[in-house]
Amino acid sequence: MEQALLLYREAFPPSSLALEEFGKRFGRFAVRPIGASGDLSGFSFVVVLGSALWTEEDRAVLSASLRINPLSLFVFPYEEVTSLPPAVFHMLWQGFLARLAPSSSAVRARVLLPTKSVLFYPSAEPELLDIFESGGIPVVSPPSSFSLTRQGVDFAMMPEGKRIGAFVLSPSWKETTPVAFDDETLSTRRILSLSDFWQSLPSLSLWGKNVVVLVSPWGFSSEEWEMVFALSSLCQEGASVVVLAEEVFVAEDGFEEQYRQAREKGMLFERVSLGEIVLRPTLDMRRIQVTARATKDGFPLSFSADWCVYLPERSMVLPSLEGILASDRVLFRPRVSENPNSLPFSTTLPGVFFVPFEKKKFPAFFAVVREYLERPQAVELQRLVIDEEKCALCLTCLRSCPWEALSIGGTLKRRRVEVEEERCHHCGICTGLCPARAITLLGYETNELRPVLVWSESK
Amino acid sequence: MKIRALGCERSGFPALLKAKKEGMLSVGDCLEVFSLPCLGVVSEAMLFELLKEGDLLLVVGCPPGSCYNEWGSTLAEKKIRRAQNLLDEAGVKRKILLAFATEEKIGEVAKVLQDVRVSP
Repeated sequence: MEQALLLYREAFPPSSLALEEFGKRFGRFAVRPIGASGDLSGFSFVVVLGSALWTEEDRAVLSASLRINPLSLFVFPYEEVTSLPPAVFHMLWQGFLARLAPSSSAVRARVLLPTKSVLFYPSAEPELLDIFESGGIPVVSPPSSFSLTRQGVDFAMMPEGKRIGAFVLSPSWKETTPVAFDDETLSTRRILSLSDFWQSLPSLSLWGKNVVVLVSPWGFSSEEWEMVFALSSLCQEGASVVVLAEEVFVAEDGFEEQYRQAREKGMLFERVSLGEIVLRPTLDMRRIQVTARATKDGFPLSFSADWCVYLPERSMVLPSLEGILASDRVLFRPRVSENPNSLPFSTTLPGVFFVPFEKKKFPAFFAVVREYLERPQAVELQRLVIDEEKCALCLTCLRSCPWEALSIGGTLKRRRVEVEEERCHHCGICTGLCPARAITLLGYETNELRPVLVWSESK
Repeated sequence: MKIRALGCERSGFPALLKAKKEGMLSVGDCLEVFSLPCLGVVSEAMLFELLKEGDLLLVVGCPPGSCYNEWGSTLAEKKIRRAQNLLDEAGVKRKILLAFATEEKIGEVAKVLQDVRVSP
């Protein structure tokens, strides 16, 4: 009969009902608090009364600290369930226990911390460097030519082999106008960007003039919206100001109040779809006729603008990593990560971040990078991974495997070598013999070896 | 002198532990021990990587006839010979030594290291 272990946290001891059910499922079992020491080997199931908020990483860290196979560790969200009525709890607990299945193959893992150092590419702003230096994260200055390779959770900077925990890209920002202006409209010279308009304000007389502000929904900064709200002072000087935007940005401290005040002063805000805006110069070429359609009711809007001011649309251009991130099959082009679970400012490549546009966000950016560098990451050990792109199907591995764990599979069109986990003894003979270097035994890569024991004798 | 020792989990690593206990490994000032599932993983690149920060690399594995994975040790022997040839051709003075030992028979570790003591 299988032997099971029930681990609980001191704050949430198991109820008698829980223990009774556990005893019914497993004949032989032991119950211990998480912190208690003792031999944990020999249990085929380790059930932890945890929380639904535990992430996969928490589990990995727990299994590594307890030195047990992560596949035999099962977490039940006990903390959330204790307050439920006994009948409901009984049903959930019983269902959880019934679904437990033994693991078919052993997985070993170890927990690694990234090296505490950051590399900025191609350059970094001095303010950002100061924040990192004062925060205790050393910044590595890149040599004139270098390349990066992945080593476990780190990057290694070649040719010196220096280890880097996080790689930060400084993007360049490409500015475009929110609406396409044609040559005829531009020749009126009544179209200005917001910053240009602010600079020329003292020399303009705006009494009785109409100002139309076009705001793009992408790539604005909160400082720029502050400038938009500040344009309401023109209303008191006798001008009329209309803001055409897809969305008014109020998600910042004090912005709701500024928005309210701007409207009180007579500034007009209208939600429109920027794609439908038509700009046409008047016959005397002194004004621009702006036609749009309100999102709210589809009612056509028409303004005759003396000045057309736009807030530029910014798109981020990440530097290309061609020739830097060494890889022989894919030229990595990092993109901004759209996964809501990943850290902010992170790209699709783990450990690669991008610098935000606003300087206000630099402290937050530093906090994100520090969190990444201080968070332990679980790394699998002893699993065979075959890179299909490199594999030439020479079948050397099939012939060399002493355990016949490798076989040929896949489809007729695309054959591939498959590993049978149950048979693999992780001897690594195939990794050493593969002529294409397509097989890796996780944790035993050339650069990943770490000494198990170190003896030093000082004379 | 900094020695780096590489042992397979089945017999090389326990043999190294025992050899250390019996004082056979007190050749250098510093000893770092690496453990591998089998010597079959060893590649020339790995040997050179390990030699980068050590003066001597000692590889200990099962005797070829009794290797748990049949030809792990045999393959390692071939690769070590090739790596040592490359080192000699390049004129690098560092050495890779191979010893076949188990926990019960650690004599070969001492024998291999004897040569180092004589001609450092």
